[in-house]
Amino acid sequence: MSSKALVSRFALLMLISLMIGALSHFSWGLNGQQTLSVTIFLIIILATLFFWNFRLAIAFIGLPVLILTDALKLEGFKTHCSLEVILFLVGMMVVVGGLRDLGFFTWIIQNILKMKGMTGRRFVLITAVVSALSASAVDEVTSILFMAALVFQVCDVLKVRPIPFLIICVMATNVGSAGTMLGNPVGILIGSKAGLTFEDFMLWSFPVMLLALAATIALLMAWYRDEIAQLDQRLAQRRGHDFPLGPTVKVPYMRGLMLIVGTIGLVSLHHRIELLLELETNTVLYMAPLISAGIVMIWRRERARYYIEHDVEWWTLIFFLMLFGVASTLQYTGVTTEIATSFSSLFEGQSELLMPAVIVLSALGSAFVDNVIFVSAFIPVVQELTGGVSVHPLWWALLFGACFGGNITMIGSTANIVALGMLEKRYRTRIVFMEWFRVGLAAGFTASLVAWLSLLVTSSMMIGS
Amino acid sequence: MNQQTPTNNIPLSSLFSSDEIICSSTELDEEEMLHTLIERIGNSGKLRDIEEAFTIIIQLKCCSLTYLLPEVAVFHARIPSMKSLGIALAVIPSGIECCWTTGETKTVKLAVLVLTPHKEPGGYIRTITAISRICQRKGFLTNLYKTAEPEKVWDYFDQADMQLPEFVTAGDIMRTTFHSLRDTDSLSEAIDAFCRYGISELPVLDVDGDLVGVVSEDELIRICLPEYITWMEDLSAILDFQPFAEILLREKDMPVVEISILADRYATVEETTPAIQVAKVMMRRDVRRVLVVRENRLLGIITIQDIINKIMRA
Repeated sequence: MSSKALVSRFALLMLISLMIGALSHFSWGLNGQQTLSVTIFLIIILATLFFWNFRLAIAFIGLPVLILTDALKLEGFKTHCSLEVILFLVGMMVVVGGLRDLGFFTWIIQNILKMKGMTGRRFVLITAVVSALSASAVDEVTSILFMAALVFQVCDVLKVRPIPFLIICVMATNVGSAGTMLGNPVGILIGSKAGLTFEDFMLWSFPVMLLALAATIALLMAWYRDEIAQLDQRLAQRRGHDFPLGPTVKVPYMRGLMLIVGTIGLVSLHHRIELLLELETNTVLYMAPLISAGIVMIWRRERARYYIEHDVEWWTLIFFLMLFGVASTLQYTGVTTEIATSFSSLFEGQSELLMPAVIVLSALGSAFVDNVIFVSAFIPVVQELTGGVSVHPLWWALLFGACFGGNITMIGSTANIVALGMLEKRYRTRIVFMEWFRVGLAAGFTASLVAWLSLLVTSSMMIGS
Repeated sequence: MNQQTPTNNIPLSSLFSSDEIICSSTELDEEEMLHTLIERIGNSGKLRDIEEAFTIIIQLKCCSLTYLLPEVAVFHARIPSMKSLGIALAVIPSGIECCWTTGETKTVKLAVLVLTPHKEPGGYIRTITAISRICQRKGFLTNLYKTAEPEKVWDYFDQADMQLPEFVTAGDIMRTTFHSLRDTDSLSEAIDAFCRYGISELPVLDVDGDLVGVVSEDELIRICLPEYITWMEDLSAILDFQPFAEILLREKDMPVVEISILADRYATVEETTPAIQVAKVMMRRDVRRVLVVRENRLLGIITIQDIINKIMRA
């Protein structure tokens, strides 16, 4: 980046932050400490977005600035940095490393490649569903890593353009990541802050995710019907020659299957175990991946160090840790209470509009800002609005908006960025912003609409439960 | 050869005089001829140390001798003591036997000696390009061999009005003879070709000679051992190369285009592309060879070895 661009970006972010800070003081009536908190928070967040490669350095500097200006206390950081979420993610990343080594993902891909009578539509349906379900089971990034490899393999063999099929998998991944707490860091974050259990996700989120997935797949199949027809044609030609889509080998998949079933089983039963052992809510949830990870590291001891050093994304996790702490400044200074009060006043008498407002806001926020950043900042607002009720439609509205909104733009979610990176590396090609945005907006809107309608139906059941 | 490259208005004939031309009707020894040509350049004042130049030419014979056209050979070297580019010609209608490092001998009737200073890596290439173009003109060589006197030889070159190209193009440095496959060939033939010729990539052409794609050893291995299999840490299930067996079962039936990289994804350049651009394409695309095409018709191949030989050791 040239010096001129650097200075311009810095000046812009300072201008925006100071303007909003001033606005918050003079128009919204925030006090001095609150204004300072908002301003510094915005500087940190905008700097993170404008200088993405330096986000960790910015967080490292931003946090002490908040503490030293008394916009945040050290104790507050320790309380709100959500270390349990970080440990949860560490555990899951080690488990994913183990699954990869054990051939679990190889086995899934081979099973798809071996399917008889594969057509274009069937391939798209299968890859989309597997993308979504694997995102729910492990995480969105892992899901897209191995689904992208499958898409590239098939498209290379059939000599078709991979971009449409990659987009379909990525969008299905983002939708699927809302299904459970495992799919997306925002899921575990919301679950942690709201006191939601895995069972709550399975009851209220997973069915909505399935409906949204069906709607998204239908949309994408119609959108890319020409490309799917071409894929169909090439598949038929290949079937005619009896050539496989890729070599298949004997994979000892049972070990990997046992590992994932065991991990998900422990996670899914966490609430029952907590009740039995009279433990605090979600204790077992956070510990389950660590237990699995520990078992993997003993079982595959020659690879244990590798899992920790290479499979755990420390750069990202430390950034999350700092980010959660930075976001808590708004809560500490009472800004979130003010925002929540404003929200309530705005929608007074029209509380039914609050839900779609949260969905839209979180979707748009997620589309242009990293969804973890957005959700971290918005959680305290929703906490105020829900009045401490855990199973509340606004939490799900936040979750769905944050996950589904990730489909709207190329930068909307980590899965998008990972997929685009793989595409560029392999094919030296990029997706044009508008190519993604047009279909992304349609997909994001469709899934969000399904989510809203579902919440309308289920919200009354939720608050009473 | 391309005639559309801009020239820098330096006539080829201005780089040498009739004093640097020998016309011999008697049999000459190859080394005698070279020594004489070097002496002639030395006499022109461009070269200080004749023996140094002779030693360098002989020592670097492996890469300093180019068989440009039938019966036309170019000897070249970069000499530290050269002040400017020097050219000397030997026209030997009866032919002289020149020995290549392969042990093969060829009859040469026009021998060109090009000596360039160290600081001009492109000078030789531009000179040889001009010489190649002029010699390819219809009847040029035939008439040249009938010319018995150095002054008339020089006049002949001068009248041909060939100028040095401003820059060397892909077409000037490409290899025009290369191995290839047809789009109707099978995978079996591709594997045989890799083993037989010891090269890592083969262009695939259709019946008209148009480039369809490129098949590479890397791609062949990747087909047999795709990424999703390499994720597994424990490969004991495939110690006997089972995935390779699946592909080999079909090698006679599988057309080579099934495993070829499509032409639009391969590094290709037009023949008029500057040679420096070719080097840039190689670096940018991280490839060791580039295909030279004219409207998708494959004309030649440039390898990184060609860049090293023709530019760095010219």
